[in-house]
Amino acid sequence: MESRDLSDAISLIKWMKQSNLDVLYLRMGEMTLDLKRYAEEERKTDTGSAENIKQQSEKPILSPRLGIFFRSAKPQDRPFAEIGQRVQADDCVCLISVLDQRCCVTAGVQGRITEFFAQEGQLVEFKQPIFAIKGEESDEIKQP
Amino acid sequence: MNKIKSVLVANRGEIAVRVIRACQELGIEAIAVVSDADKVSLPARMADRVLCIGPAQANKSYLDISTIVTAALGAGVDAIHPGYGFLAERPDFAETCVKHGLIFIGPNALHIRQMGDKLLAREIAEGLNIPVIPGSCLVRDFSEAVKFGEKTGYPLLLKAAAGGGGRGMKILQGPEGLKFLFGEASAEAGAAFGDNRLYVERYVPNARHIEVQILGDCHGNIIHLFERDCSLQRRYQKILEEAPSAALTSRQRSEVCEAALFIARQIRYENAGTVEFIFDQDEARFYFLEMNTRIQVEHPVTEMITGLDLIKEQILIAGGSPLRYSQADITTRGHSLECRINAESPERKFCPSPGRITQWQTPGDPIVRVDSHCYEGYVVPPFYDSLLAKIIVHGEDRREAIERMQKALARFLISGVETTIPLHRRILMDDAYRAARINTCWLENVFLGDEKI
Repeated sequence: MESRDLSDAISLIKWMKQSNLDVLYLRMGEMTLDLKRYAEEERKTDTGSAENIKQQSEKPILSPRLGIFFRSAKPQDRPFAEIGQRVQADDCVCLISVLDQRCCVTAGVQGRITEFFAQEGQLVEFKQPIFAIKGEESDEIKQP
Repeated sequence: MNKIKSVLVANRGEIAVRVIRACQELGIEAIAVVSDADKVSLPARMADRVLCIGPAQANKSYLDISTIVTAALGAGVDAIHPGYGFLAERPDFAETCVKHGLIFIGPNALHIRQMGDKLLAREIAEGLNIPVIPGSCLVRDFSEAVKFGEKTGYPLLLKAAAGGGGRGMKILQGPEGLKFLFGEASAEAGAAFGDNRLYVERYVPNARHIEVQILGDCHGNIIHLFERDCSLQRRYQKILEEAPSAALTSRQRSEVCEAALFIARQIRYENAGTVEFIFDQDEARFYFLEMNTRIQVEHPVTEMITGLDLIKEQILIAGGSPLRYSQADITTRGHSLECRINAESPERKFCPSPGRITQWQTPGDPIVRVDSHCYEGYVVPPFYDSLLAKIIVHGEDRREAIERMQKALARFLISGVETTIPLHRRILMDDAYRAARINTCWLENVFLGDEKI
């Protein structure tokens, strides 16, 4: 790595600190830079004990993309999940429909659904909170 | 009565601001779509409604057709304005809009497809007896290019059939090294357009880039708004544009404008488009180059000399209104220049310079226009092109426009990011530029030539 590359990398890191970006992946010629900012919550999870995780309260699940929100596969079908229902991390909780594609949003963590923030058929934005889940003890906490 | 009451602006940066302003002037609701990196931005602040469509990466946000069309349907808009770049010249985008009952503010998918394929566009022009640069059909491999070179001589220009923006473009000085350049061009074209087809044409060394603005409605009315000269380019990217061209006689001007109008009429083109020509200054001849089926970055210089608002006209035409002007209504006055101010460091090989803008003071001189999405405190993200602003001036003649631009550039104070303002100030002081003794290679080979760009 040339010294200029290094100073470029350092100024990029400084720049990222000022910005509101969480992830920066950059490949320029032979240089690759992969930066990730750890949010407060994640930092706690990373260093925290099982106790911390157990005490974790409601976690809002964000929409992985912009689209139309549906709680069931077809209008006459029963919803995938109801409020208060216990779900596994990879259970499908709702659908986000984008033209003719439909993507399933999983619970991400094991726990109980406490609230839905979006209405059936509503347009939701990228990263808009769509439901909340109260996590139970689990090895893994993932965000879609 | 115009059918368009609300518009989704499928773009970012200065052009998103420009389209939102036109909507506001027409009393039309404007919906901005933004990536995660653009949630805090001027278009987001100005629009009536903002929708976040995806992460910073353009292919998951501004280039995602399904997501943008879903946003438009969800928000209940009548029309989509694509701006320039991103999806503006994707026929499948125009098609998807129409399929879902949305008005695409631009030409129809057929015209985007026909004119986007450079070989097809060349064929159409040739069929209309418009001169095209002597060239080949497709060259499948380097040996075909060598054969063509033996027949016509060098230098030649290798180009991508699906091309644009200089990607896949190589100047061939002779058969030596041709195999290598062919491989490089083919790989570049494949990576940029998903289409590695190449063709060769005679290279015109002393050329001007002249383009003619066209407006057509769905009732068969088509007019031209005279030409722009975009000969100042670096790596096939335009840097400074002007209207009218200082290189043309009035006879040449009407010749090129009529040729552009003829092509647009014959294909029954609708909405705003630009027919591009190469003007060979040694032979005083025009050659058709391509047609751009969108609004262009440099459209303001045409607005300045004709007094029309092109974005407003685009929206009105798309909504079914007949053109408000006949060809006889279009006259030009004076001279206009546009400087593209990029967040780049001219001292460091034009390396991008993203970051937080700590000072942003625009010039307030009369007849100076600044099209920009930037403000003090704005963080220029590193994910997109580096255009910060366009400064556009008008003068009674070219000389006055140059003087006015120099003052405007000196009074444009930007800190926090490096910009191309110093480069523009040096160009405007150069004797060759002031005397209009330039061509498309001048900036790169002569003006910046010593600087080993």
